[in-house]
Amino acid sequence: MKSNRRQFLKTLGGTALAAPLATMPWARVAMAQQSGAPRRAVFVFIPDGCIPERFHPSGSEFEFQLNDMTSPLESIRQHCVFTSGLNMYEGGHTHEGGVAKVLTGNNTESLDYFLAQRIGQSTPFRGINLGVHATFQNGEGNAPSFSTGNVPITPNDNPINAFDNIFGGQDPGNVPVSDRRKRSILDQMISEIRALNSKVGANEREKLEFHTDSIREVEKRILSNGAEAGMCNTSGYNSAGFTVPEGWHGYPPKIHLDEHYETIGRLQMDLITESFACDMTRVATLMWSHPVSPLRVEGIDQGHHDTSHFGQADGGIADKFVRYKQYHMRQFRYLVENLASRTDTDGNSLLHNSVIFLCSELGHSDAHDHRNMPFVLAGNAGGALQTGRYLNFGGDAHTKLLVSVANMMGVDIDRFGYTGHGTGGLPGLLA
Amino acid sequence: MKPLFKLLTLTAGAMAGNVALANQLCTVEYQETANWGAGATHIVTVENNGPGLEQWDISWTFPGNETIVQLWKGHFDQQGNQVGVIDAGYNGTVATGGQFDFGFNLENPSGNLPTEFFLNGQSCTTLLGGQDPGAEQPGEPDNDAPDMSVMGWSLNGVQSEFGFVTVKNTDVAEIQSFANLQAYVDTSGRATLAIDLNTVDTGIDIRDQRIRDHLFSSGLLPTLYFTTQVDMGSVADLEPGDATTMTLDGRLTMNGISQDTTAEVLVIRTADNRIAVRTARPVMVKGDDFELAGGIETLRTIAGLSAIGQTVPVYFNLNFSAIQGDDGDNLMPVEAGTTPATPSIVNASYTGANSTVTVSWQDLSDNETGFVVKRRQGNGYWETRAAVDANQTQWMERLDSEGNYTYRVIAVNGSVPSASSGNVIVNAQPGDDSGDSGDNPGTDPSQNPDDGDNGNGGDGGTPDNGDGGDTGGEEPVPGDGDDNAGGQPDGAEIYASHCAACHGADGSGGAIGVSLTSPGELGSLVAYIERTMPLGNTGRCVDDCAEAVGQYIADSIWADTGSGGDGGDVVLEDETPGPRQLNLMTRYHYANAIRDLVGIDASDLTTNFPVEARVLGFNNNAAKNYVSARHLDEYLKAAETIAEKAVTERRSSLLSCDAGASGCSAQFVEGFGRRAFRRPLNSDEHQAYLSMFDAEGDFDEGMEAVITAMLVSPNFLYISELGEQTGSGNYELTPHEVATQLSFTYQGTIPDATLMAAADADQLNTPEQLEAQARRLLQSDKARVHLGHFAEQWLESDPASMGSKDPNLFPRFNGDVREAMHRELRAFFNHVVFDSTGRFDELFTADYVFVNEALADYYGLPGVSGDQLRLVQDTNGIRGGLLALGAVMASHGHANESAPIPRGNFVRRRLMCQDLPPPPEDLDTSGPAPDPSQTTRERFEARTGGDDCQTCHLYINGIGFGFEAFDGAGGFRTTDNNRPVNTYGVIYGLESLLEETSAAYDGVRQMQQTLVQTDSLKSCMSRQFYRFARGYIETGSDSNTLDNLNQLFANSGYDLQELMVGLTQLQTFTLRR
Repeated sequence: MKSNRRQFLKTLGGTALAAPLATMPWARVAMAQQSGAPRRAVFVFIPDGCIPERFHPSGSEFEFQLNDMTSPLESIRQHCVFTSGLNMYEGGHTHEGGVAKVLTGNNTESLDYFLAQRIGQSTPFRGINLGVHATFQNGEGNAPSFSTGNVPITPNDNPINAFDNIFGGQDPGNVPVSDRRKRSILDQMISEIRALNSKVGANEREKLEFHTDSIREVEKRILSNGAEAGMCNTSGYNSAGFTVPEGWHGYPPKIHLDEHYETIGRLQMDLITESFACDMTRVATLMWSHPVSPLRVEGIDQGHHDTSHFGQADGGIADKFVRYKQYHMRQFRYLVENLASRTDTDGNSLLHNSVIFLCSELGHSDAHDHRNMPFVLAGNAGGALQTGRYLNFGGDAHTKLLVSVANMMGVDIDRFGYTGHGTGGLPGLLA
Repeated sequence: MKPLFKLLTLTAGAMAGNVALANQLCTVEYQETANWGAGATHIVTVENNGPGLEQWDISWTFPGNETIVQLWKGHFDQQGNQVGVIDAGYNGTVATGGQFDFGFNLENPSGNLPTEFFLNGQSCTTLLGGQDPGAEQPGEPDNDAPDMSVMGWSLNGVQSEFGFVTVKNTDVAEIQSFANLQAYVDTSGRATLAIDLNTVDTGIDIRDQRIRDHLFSSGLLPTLYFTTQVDMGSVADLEPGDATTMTLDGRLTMNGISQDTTAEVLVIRTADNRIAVRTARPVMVKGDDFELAGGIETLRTIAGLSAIGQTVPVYFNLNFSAIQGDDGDNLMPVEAGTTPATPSIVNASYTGANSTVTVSWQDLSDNETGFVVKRRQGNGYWETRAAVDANQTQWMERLDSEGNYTYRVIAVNGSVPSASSGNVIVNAQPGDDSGDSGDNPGTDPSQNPDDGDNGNGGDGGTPDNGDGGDTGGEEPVPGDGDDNAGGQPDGAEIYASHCAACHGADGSGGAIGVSLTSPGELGSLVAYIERTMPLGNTGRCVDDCAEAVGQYIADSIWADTGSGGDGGDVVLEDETPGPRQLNLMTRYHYANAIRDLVGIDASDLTTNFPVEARVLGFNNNAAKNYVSARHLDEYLKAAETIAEKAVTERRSSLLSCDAGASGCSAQFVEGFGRRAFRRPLNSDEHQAYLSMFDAEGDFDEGMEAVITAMLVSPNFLYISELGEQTGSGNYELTPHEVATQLSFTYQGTIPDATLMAAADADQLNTPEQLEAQARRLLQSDKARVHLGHFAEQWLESDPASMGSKDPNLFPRFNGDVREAMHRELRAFFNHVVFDSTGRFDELFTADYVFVNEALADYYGLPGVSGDQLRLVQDTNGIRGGLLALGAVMASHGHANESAPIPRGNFVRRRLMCQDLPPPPEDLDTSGPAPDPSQTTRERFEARTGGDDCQTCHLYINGIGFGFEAFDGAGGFRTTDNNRPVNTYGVIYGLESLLEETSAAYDGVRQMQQTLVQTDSLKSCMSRQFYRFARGYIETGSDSNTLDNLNQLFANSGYDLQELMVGLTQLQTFTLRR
């Protein structure tokens, strides 16, 4: 749309919105009081696990040495918390089972969605889900994020389209539509859903509630973006002018070509930073490729997934897998540095007020297990997380890490999914 | 090709010679992997310990009348019960330390296995099973749980093991284990270990079975107990990391005997809340002490061994976790039951006329779960003869040889025995009656262990126990319906008295006995009964008895399979309607709907819509596609663009009145709304849209607003299957919902004008009306596209499912080939359904392909040029049928190699609808290392060859390996790593994973020909089409509906269009609930 969505009519803010069809459950969860700038969370997924003996650091909590696979993080180690000894228990096996549980802990909703519902009420977008080749040759639709009813959330692989959805105005193909029209269209949607809701049985009610809630989110965006509009300057985004052709233009599409993997990835990461800086959202998920990744970059002569079946941990194939992992770590470093370089409203860096959770769906790639997972944290979560550390959790459940991340974000829960190893967060992680 | 006669000469020569068991020229593993009574499958694996071989032959003698029917990976000759097998040519070369194997199906399995083998004329050592010791579980890293009050210690069964060492043939030692262990130690130190003896694991199924039946009688006495007292003070003193030795004096109970037993253990505190208890020295258990000597001897005889050691070293590593404070719900104390009071033997009387002995006793206990009768023949070993229910006081058996028999009875509470009753002896001579009233001084007391630990007093097990009752016992016991000379055995009575206790009175299964309700083959059942039943009492029911019982089971217990149709007469079962649902249109549906609604190509607009979730391959699952905010953003954008374009470019087709005319806006709202919502608008809707139109103040703007709004309406986006209440709890779809079902099922788009008119006129009710529409819709290009869509999702071979291929390994695979493969799949499917026989089997028996120049070249077929696909016979004899399609092989193939395991799974899940469970969590399922000297098949065969793996991989590999002539990119090959490709396979469980059919084949053509004969392939097809058409995965309540659909399919001779049309003939096509 040529018209900037943020210009939409504010005067209609006085119109009474139709009451929601049902009380949304999250309203009852207590939110910890926060002072200062809001906290942000980023969930970054990279595929196919790791070689544990070449991924995890050695040493003690403050005196540790990074390993081959994480060596690119040396220059940002002070911003990171490295972990080892975290296992994912129960649920499914291998790739499919791992991606279904890494952010859910076998809950129906994933943590990113869960947090987005709780802390995203005051931002135009509760959460954003972005991808880099995440939907390319992903026949099973594997993705780590799930909304109500364990419905998968597929990431948006097109950063130009995603930017347009969030900030509006970039995509020239769209038609300007009046605000009054938009208002009446939204009203009509809600009225029709209400009519349907009175007819459906219990099993479809959840679907319609979710649909209504989605309308609410879009509606709110249309109404509330006026005040902050001027403060947000996104003119620096995509300064290289990367374009994506509309519609079908051959196979693979441009956004799924290996040669653009890094460009797409960086555009997505920039989008996350911009979205945080402009408070368009506070929760973002970035999925790099997908389990059983066909990715080929860096001139490596075997595909990503092929190298993840490396046999000897110190052999030639393993070395290639290490290069792939280092490649993704450099991207992670880019994100961390980006957020570190932006100042937040309280004078701290955006990174200081964020927590980034880097994960994968497997532990040992070749054995396809869910042990000793390659999880790394970055950012201080507004001061809740002390970084520059390495912690070994001795086989504890990764769901405690999910709880800790929620706690860092000011959401006071003591369990998230599997509790077979006890409740609460990870001991020793938070102050 | 070697002359086979040479084998026998060698064999004859070698057999006359020296059979040296210590000769380690080779190691042979001989296994029975399936047995269906009338036949069996055996696999022979040989490890070459000697010099490298260029060719091999293996020979042996069958112990019974076994006859080999077919053999693979070799060639065989059989003369009488002597067998010789030579290599198949491609597997003759075996290096030192290398392995080869072959398998075969045979008739008349005798229950015994050959025990001596000759490799190239020289003797081998026989191994009857796997050698892997039970792998010790790696200890979990310690958990720093906070110190809370400990309520007890519970065994972590997964991290513990309990094993024992057996020695056979004097010098072959093996480690065996039990899989199911439980143990609990309470805070006072009272400890109980319980082992389910049925879970004995020796690595060989048949050996496990024999041990259960003949050694432990674990059907009757399933649990081993060890109870002891642990010094918890010493345990409390241990810090994590500390250890101490302890001597545990306790009672070991098994086989109905309790004995004092001492274990020297090492107790280690591995964490605050973890304790490990390990044997510091092995516990030596003597067979004699537990009356196991007889069972051991029986095992020895059956297996044809020279010896089995009677003293068994036992070791264990038990890991306990503390049950703390708030884990109270997790308390699972393990306890042996209280010891029952000892029964008092009354007498044993023998009736010569029918060679029957009757043992009777007094029931003096009130907590027994049953009684166990033990018998000794002459001075032989004690054996467990039978178990009877609680409160019984009598038992009978027929003796088949004369002599002295001694009996005694114990009461059991679960597996906890009372002290033994005294003994009674009968002298059995045919024709003479005799009896013993139990005041017999009995036998050597050492044969009658007296545990003295009988909390209920009683007689303490003295031999002289003859109180109560009869003297002598010369009269025959009143009959209880057992076999009588001259009378036909009564199957029902035999079942009730000898089978019901284990299998349930109704045959649905019990604690020990499996369910008997699945119908099978009567002959196999009778043979199985003769060979193995009753458990622990084999051979008691043969000939007439087995036939009578088998017939009874077949008549009264086998489940009714329901009425079958024959010819044109279809008897349908009562269907339960499917769920009411709102199914979100997929991108594909949306683009079709826009095309048909406004004549605009919206496929470009849908490229940014969120990708749908896939459920079992299909992307139109109503439960997994919700409208998120992102969906709405995209729908709004698309709707705005389409609306603007529609008004600018398609105005005349959307408007049938003049813009200036009054009432035209209402007419437009009505007309467009009806088509967009696929039903007439109701008055609220009409009013709302008319107001929206008018508020724009300009006719074109009004049109645009209304079109936009309608295209984002839930009434457009969702396919509605809500219906209206019928009053019986069901809902009947409205005529317009029925029209929508028809159009989306057969064309993947909105209803056309004909359907809408039929709905308006309420002419979509009768089966005939529905059938007519279905047939009409199928005869269209849209239907072809739609069914192509179905086929590629069903086979998980759509573009999203075909991964990249390594260009170094598959240089000929490129974008043109890929695209042609996808087009071929759809074209082939359409050809069979619409342009050829229309029959299901042609999908698998076709001997042609659809190729353009690029694909023909890839397939090695000459004479094809241009981009157009055309039908070409595969004169190479390689391709043809769905499973040989390049698209299917490449979509189920890795980037760098073929994928036999995923392919095997794919066929089982998607074509046979057989769901194998995933591998157990703790199992290392890493793939085999690359090896340039082996084929993919050889590497994966070795990797999945273990017994644990074979439980499932028998079914997976038997199909997956058959595809090995197709590489990971769907190309044909005859070698893999310069070794010949082997495409032999055996498909086990053709109709279900629970039954024992199998069929051998070579290559994908034969595989398809075999599969297409099965019922499972066809019923799976019905099921898959149903899933696709209905947008949900069926549950148990859909089973009648699916049966009916499959019945219609079968009735039509498996015509595919009839299957599809048949959907409309189901009772519940228009019903929901």
